[in-house]
Amino acid sequence: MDAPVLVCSGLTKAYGPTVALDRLTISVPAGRIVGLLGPNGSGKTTLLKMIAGVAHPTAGEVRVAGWAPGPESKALVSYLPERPYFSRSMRVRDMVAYFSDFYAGFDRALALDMLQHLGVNPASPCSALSKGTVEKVQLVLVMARHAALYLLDEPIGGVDPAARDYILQTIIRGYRPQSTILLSTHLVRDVEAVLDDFILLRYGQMLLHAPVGYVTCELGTTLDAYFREEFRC
Amino acid sequence: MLGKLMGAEWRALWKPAAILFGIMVVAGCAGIACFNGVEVTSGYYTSSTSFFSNASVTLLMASLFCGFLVWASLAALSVYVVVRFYRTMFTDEGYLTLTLPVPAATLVLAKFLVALLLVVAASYLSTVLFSAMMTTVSSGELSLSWMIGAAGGMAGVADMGSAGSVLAGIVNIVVTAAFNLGLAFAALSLGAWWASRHKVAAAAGLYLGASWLLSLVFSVFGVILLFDSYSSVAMTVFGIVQMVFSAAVAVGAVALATYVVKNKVDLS
Repeated sequence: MDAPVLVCSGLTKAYGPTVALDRLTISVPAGRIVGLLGPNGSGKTTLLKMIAGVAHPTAGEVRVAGWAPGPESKALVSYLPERPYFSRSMRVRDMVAYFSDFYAGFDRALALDMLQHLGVNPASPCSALSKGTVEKVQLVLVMARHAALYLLDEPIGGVDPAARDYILQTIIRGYRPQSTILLSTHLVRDVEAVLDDFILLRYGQMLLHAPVGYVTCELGTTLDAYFREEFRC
Repeated sequence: MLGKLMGAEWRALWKPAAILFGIMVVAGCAGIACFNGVEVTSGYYTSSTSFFSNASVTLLMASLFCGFLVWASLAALSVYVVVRFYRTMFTDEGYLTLTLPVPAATLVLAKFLVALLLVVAASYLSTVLFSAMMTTVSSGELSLSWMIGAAGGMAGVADMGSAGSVLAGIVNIVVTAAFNLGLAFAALSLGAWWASRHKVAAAAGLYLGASWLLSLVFSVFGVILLFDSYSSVAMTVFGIVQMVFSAAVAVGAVALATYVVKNKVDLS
C-alpha cells in the first residue's frame, strides 16, 4: 500500500480559550480528491493553514509525505488560501514569473494557456482585476504546479454558479492521478460529483472520514443530503 | 534561492526607491544652491536696502526646507522598506511569501539585505548632501571629508586621518542602518505574534521602547568611559564599542525575527 501523502496525529490548534481544531487524526492516501466539509467555524481553514505551514499547531503534528511543515513540505504542497494574496503592484505576468522562479514543478505553458481561456491579459495589473477574476487567476497558478498535495480553501465560495463550474473544471483539468486534492467547502452539492472521499468536521473535531460511496451506497443518500441532515440547525 | 528572493525584492522596491533618491538629489542640489545664494546676497546687504536681506532670508528658509526634504526622503524610504516587510510577511501577501519552499531565515535575510542596501545608499547620499551644504555654509573652513566623518559619527577617530575618518563614518552608517532595520523587523515580527489587534501599533511601541533602552545603555556606557578622559582615543574606543554592540544587536534582532516567523506567527 502506498504511503499516505498527509498524516495528522492529534492535531490541535487553540487561539486562546477557543479550540479551533481538537485532536484531529487523519491519514490521506495519494491520488484522491478529498472534500473537507463542515459548517463555518468547523476548523477547515485552520487545518489547511497548518498543513500549508502558515499556522503552527498547539499540539500534535502534521506530516506531508513524511515531512513536517517546512521548505521540503512546501515544495510538495500547492495551497490556495481563502483570500487574495496578490501584490496589487504586480502584473499577472509577474505572478506567473514569480511562480516559475520559485516552484520547480510549475508548468508555465499550462498556466498561460488557462489564463488565455479565462480571457486574462498577462500584462494586466492585478489591481485592475475583478474579485472573481483574481480568484480564478490564483487557482490557475496553484493548479499549474506539479504538486503532491493541493490544498484548496473554499475555491468556489463567493463566486457565481457559472464561475463555480469553471473553477471545478479547472481543478479537474489540472488534476494529476498521483496527486491528492484536499478541497474545503460548505457548498457540498456543487462538489460531490468530483469527490472520492470526504472528511466531516464540526466544532474542530472530525465526525467522519469515509469514501463518498459509503454515503451513496450504504446509506442510500447523497452527500449533500447527508451533510444537511448532520448539520441541521 | 537567496539571490532569487533578493531579485524579487529588488524588482518590487526599485521604482519607489528611485523616486525618493531623485527627490533627495534635486532637493540637495537646490539646498546647496540656496546656501550659495545666501552667501552671495548677504555680501550685498546694507542697512538701507531690504531686498538683499529679504533675499537672504528667503534663500535661507528655502535651503532649510531642502534639507528637510532630503531628511524626509531618507525617512520615507526607511519606513517604506519596513512596511513592505510587514505587508509581505504578516498580511494577506504573507500567503504568497510564507508558502515558498525556502527556509524562514532565507526569506528574512533576503528582505533585510535589500532593505539595508537601499537605506545605506540613501544614508550615504544624504550624508554627502548635508555635508556639502554645511561645507558651503562654512565657506570652506570645514573640509568635506571631515564633514562626512562627522556625519557618520566618527569625526573623533584618533590618528586615522581624513581617509580613516571617512571610512569609519561609512562603516558606522552601515551599522546604524542595520541596527535600526534589524530592530524594526524584530519588533514587527513580535507585534504580529503577540498582539491580537493593533499589531503595527504594538510593533511601533516595541521598536521605540527597545531603541530607547539601548540608547540609554549606550549613554551610560559613554558617561562612564568618558567621565574622566575626553581624549580622542577614549572617544574612538567608545565609537568602536558602540559600533560592535550595534552590529551584534542587528544580528540578534534578525535572528529573533527569523525565529518568530518560523515558529510562532500564524497568518489570520
